[in-house]
Amino acid sequence: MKKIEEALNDCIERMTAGESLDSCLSRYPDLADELKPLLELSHAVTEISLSVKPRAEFKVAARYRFHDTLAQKESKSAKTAPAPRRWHFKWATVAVAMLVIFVVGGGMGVASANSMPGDPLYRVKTLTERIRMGLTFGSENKARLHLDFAEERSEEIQTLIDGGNLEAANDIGVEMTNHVESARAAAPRLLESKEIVVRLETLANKQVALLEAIYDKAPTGAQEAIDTLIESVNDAYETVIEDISGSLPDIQIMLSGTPTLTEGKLTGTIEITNNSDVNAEVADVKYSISYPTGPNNNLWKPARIIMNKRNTLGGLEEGTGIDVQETKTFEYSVNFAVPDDTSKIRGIISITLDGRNLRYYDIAEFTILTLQSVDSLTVVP
Amino acid sequence: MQDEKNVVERAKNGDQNAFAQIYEEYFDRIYRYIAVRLGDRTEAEDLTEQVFLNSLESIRSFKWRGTPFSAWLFRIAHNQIVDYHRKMSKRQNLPLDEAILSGGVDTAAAAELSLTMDELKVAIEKLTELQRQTILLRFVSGFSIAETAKSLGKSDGAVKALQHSATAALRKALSGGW
Repeated sequence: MKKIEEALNDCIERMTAGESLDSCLSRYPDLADELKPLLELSHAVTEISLSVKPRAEFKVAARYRFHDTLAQKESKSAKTAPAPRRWHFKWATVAVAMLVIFVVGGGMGVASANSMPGDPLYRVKTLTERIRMGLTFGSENKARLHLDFAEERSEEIQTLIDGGNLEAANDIGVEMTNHVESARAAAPRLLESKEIVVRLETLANKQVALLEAIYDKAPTGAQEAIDTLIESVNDAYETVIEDISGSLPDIQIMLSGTPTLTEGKLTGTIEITNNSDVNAEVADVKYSISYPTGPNNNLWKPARIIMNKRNTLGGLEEGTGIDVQETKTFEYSVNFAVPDDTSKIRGIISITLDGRNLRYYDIAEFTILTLQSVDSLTVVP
Repeated sequence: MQDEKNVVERAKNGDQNAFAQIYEEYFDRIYRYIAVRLGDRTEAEDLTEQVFLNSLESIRSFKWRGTPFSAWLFRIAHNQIVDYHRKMSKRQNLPLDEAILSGGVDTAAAAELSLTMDELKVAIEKLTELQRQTILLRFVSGFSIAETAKSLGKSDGAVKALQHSATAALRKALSGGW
């Protein structure tokens, strides 16, 4: 191995860990002249690469589609599972497992204590989780990890229920609830993001499936208790939603009405309503148009926005103020290009508010009658 | 990723959460790997999604053969890029600068990015395949020397040598200040 190759790698590793270029070069004075341009270049390539990030709206949409695919895959594989009942609430029924087990446990008797929480390896597992939490920085990252652990607890509850160990499942249910509460406390705004809602809904669906399984085994008295419990949990979750919504600026952004399309120019209306008790100021605006592609037309590809033509959002821009209880309307006009055989497009508009990180957005899907000649679109319900 | 083997095994057994964890861990890195090769943001988005859909379909066939899971995932990304180039060679493409500016409104940032990315993309194409993979895995995707070595089927020492020759060749390929 040549000395220059070892020296280059050593310096790359050191600079990745935060050491300065000059400090690295001082370690190899006889090779410094040769190393310097190579290190500057490798560092520049890394920096440039790190600046390449997928667009936030694409990432959100892609994550949605991916979780949808995962869910479809799981539903196909669960051939013997009973069809889940669809409850009207959309939030995670984090308390369901704990409460249901409490009720049913009283009616059915508690099984033996031969369970996962009693296993010595389980202590190692929870210790590892605590270490991971300790090594995780940033409130959002911690919140995500809490949700990871809540999902893990959910899996354990399923196993414990299957094994008839309801008492242990009850204990794990408490832990699961604590993790969700900790996630909420760490990053309350995160819980409003669509990604997290998807995860919580998945968690909720698992709990509903669990409820179904227990319901079938439960004696009549316990079944009635479960029904009552579902109602009370519904109420509890509506309260949670109100709590969280109340702590956030209540802003609605909407691609309203039916837009028109003439020779690749989409025109329409954006409405923003401020239902909060404080005035809001727009900090950032983004928009895009996409169209379906891929073998099954299930991937949405951003259309090319034609920048050299006059695009406007009708004055919706950084600094735009939306006062308390005010609704403002903006006429947009965007030129874009999609393949001639495109039959559907999707418009996305998003804003952030001054001093807040949360992004508000609306997605509308339109069926195109004819791309170039007919000037009307049909909104897909 | 903590305890990657455990997560991958769970994903192989159909654990949704495990696969979601893999997705979150690798999404941005896979996107970067593809975007730097293509120089086209929207195509990179399409291909990144496809990489994860393909990996979801085929993860059951993944076997531990001394290479890290990441190498398998990036191999899928590499194959997507090869397929893409094959298809694009058969039809006319948009100019690079127009393509990378598509689909967004952050024009100032995109224009700045496209200039630099354009240079990098063109220069990377002038390297040998092994040099190119070394630059992409080490500097773009953040692989360690050991991970890069296992991905390329080389020794650690060979990858260090490749890293040196690739960086020198990249410098030569870039005109101007480098």
